Amino acid sequence: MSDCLIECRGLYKSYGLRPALRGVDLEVGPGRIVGLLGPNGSGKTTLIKLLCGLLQPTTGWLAVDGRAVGPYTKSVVSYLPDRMYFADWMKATDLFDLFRDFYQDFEYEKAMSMCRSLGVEPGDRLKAMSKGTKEKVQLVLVMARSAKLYLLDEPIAGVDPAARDFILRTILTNYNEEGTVLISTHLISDVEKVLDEAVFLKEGKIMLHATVDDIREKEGKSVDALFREIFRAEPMWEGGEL
Amino acid sequence: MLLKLLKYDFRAMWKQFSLIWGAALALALVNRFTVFRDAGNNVHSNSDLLLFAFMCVIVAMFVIAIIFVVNRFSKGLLGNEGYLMHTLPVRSWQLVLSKLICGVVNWVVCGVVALVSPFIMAPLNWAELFQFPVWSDILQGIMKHPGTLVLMAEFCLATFSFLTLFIASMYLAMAVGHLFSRHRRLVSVAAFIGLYILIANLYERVFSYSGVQSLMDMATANAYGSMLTASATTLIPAAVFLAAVCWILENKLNLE
Repeated sequence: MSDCLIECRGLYKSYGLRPALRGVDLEVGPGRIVGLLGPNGSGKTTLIKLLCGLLQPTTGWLAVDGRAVGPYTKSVVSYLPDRMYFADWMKATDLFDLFRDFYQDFEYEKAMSMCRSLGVEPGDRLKAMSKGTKEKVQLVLVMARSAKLYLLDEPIAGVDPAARDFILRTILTNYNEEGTVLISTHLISDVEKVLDEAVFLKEGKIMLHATVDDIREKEGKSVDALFREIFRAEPMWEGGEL
Repeated sequence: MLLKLLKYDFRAMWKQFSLIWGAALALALVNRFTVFRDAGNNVHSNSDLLLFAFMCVIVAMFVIAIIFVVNRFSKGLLGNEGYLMHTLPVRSWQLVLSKLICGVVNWVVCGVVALVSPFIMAPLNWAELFQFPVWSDILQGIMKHPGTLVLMAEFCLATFSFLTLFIASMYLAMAVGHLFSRHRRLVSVAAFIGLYILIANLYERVFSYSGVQSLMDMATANAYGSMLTASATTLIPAAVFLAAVCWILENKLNLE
């Protein structure tokens, strides 16, 4: 079995005629916190969906923990999507029961204690919860697992800076340290301090994959500064041309 | 894993239908004391409102049952809930089969409730009905004609097959609609009508071959064979439709 937790070779994904990923080659080892960084539409969500089995690649090859994506890889991947995915009639405890039934690495007691520390009442129906509380429940579901790979799709998008810190702290204090965390975001400055590696995606291609220390050492600047330099949009000239 | 999926599908069904099944049976029981027959054996009720409410609940039950099957598939597997269901460590066919079994059972239970309710409403003497001799006579009658039991079992199988085909066509229509980025519901409805026309034409064409006709004549020589043949000819397209649904979910899923 390979040492890599994530392996992608010539990964190509298109929606109809529009390509979302164009020949992605990527290797990520275990025990890393990796930032999947890129502007909107760069292919971050598509790559994460391919890794968790929600999409199939158009061409190319993809493996998680040395296996093609399927029931095994789904059992070792903990995925936080960028939207709510549960039925409103359920209670948080119903979801915990479901996760306990399907994922051997789900820790029920940990989920309950996370709920207590996050101020979530697990016996309440989800439809009675605010959007923020539902997001906390979803975060609890994902982080109460001792997964090999955590795929977090924009976990801090659309929340205020205080909430971002709170979410990142929850992730960092609860993830399985032998596993890898892949965080997709375009809010670099908020996540930079926790990252081991950064992957820059631009128009479906990997522009850069390096450790954060290497970026700082070789480029002499922070990941955020490098990101701004690479992805800086040119201002529009007077004639309307870019 | 299939059993675990079934557990959650049945739990969702129970949450939604326990009230409506209970209401239908309770209203039937209440109507038992308000509905009566006059000397001319005409049915009357001294509370038309209760009878009307009962009718409404029965109609609503079947409408909700259809919506339930559609929503459990479209929202559960093709909507936002799909982000949860498709990342569970199970195969697509298990997800589809679980929804299918739950849908068929749901419709069968609705049918049973609709059939049992008139018996509850009817002015039958329950004490007499539950006496041992009555059931003993029925059992003896069945034992004299064991073929009746086989025929009943085959009838049940044919009913299940028909429901399976109907639900499988709904699933395939929704899955086909899902392949389009716009007007998915409209495409799904069109696909459902298209599938109905396709099946009708296919049956007509296949059964027009003389070889098939001879086979059918042999298979349907008696009632037993007819029932089994009906089940088989219904289950074959249902299996093809379900395989197509699983293929779409496995290879063409796009929850955006």
